[in-house]
Amino acid sequence: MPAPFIYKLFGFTIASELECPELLPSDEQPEVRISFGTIPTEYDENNNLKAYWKATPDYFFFTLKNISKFLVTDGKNILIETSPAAELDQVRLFLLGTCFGALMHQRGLFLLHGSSIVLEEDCIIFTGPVGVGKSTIAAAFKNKGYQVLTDDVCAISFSHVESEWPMVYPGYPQLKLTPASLKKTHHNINQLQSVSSDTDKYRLPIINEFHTAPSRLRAICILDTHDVDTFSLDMLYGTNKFQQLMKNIYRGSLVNELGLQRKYFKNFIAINKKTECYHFHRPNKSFLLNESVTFLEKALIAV
Amino acid sequence: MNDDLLNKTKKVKMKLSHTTILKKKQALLESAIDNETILLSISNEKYYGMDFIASRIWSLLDNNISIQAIITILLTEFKVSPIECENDVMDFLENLVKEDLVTTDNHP
Repeated sequence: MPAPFIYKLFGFTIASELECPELLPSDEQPEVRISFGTIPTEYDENNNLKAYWKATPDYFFFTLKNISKFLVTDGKNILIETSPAAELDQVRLFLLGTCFGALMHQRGLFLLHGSSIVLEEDCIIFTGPVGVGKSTIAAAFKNKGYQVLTDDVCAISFSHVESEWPMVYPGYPQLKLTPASLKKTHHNINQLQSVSSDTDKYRLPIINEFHTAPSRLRAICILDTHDVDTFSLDMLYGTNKFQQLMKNIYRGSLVNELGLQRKYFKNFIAINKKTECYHFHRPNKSFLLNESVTFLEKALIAV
Repeated sequence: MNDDLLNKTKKVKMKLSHTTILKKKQALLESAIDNETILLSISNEKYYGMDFIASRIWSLLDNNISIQAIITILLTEFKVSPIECENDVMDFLENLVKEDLVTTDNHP
């Protein structure tokens, strides 16, 4: 049995039998294990569906027919059973996305769907609906010299050292961008890997601009569009703040199934003590990326 | 036969009266957030949000006072007609009963 690959992801050291070239290597002691094996058939309750998941407080099971089955338990172990037809690109996509997300949910982290960039000492998270431009905005900030902490999944937890502050942990050292976003942010699409055959996004590796240490979460910015020609940034308060954030949880439908409502409630209260939440609107007619970044820079850094 | 009638009577919805004293159920998590309140009911696993006025009524439930007393206090704090106040308070409290967030002294 060859030695597993050791990686660092979201503050966890992982020993993985599946090679994940997009992750950063580590020499620390692993606390999460990803291995190949056979998953007991009783987990796969619905053999007719092409894609199927089931979550309980004890496990998360996910299957894509003709690709693989995954079983995530205890926030520590991911077991993968692949079929001969599996493309490893697709296996890794679901392993590192949905399955690792489930693992982090099991560990009680607060997960938001979005990207995060570092502003001076602290960081901000951009979240919002699919397609609104979370990764594109992060790419534009990167171009302006800001470091990127993560894209797609933001993992928020509380460290022992800075227990008052919610901390965002370094995620994937890449941005997933569409050809249009790559063009808008002046990146060459040549030699970039496609994310998977299901989507038109490409992986843009982040090397020098990747921030490798956890960062204090100063603000969360929900991206949105509206019918008028102006930009606006409103601070969110009260039950509206709670609702908006809960809408943007990464794989939010897992929260109830995994029995995590209480954890999320308490985490929200703790995050609310330190982190401001904003709702940003840009004109829906066109992206106006540079103008959006300039506006956000002024509004969020000035605070 | 008599047992049957007894069971049927118990199942009739508790109608609230002005003298009813409501208590918050214990299986709840709540938190003030800005001037509002968020709740998680442990029993039905649902989240709830309350605005400023609803939050005020909710916090008055800690005082073990009657619904009439709640209405009277609100009339001193908000500019609203007595009829509107009574209707709004009753509606809100009936919702709380329906969502199993409160209980009366007789039905813990």
